[in-house]
Amino acid sequence: MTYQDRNTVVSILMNLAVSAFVILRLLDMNASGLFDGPDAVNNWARAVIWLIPLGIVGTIIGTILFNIVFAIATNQPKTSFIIDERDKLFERRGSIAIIAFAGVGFVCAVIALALDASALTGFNIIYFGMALGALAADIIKFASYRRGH
Amino acid sequence: MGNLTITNNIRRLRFDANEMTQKDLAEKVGVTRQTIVAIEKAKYSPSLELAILISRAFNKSLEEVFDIHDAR
Repeated sequence: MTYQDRNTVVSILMNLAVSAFVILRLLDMNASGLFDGPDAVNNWARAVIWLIPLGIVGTIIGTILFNIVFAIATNQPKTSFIIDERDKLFERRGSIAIIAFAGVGFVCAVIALALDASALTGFNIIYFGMALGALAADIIKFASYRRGH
Repeated sequence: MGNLTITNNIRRLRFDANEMTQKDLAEKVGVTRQTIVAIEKAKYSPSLELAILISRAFNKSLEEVFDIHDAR
């Protein structure tokens, strides 16, 4: 398993954990009535904004821990941190998925808003479009590493 | 152009070079061992830069390491 391959596994787990947390948090906020008034979008933004640094810090900590566990499990004290041209190729493949999902999410949000959906619905479509894109990118990279090309 | 496949003699050349390991070759050219595995199996075509580095690692010309075939 290469360094970037390991990072992809951590990223998939972090994406799933953060997305699950966001869904539960938003459902909880909805049940509490925080999305009922005129401040719905502001409340949503306050809940989502700190997930960005949380996701970054979580991924860094997860990567360090996973690399330590991997080194112990495979009995390789000198773990390789090389990133080469094949890693960059897989990275580009993943980026295409992010752009595609984010683009489709944005268009879907515009259509939803044009059909009288609330601004909150529009923001949720854009957010989850990007989250799905990030997950799809990681899955594409993971599959590429398993395939080898 | 789409039916062309790139093959290589890396495995034989490694054997000839005192049974150089894939890890040794990877370290010499600055890539991961998995990339060397993928190139050897002709699953991944290296960049021109990497192909030249691999050729130099064996003191061979590009044509002696890599070949191109029409798969049709």
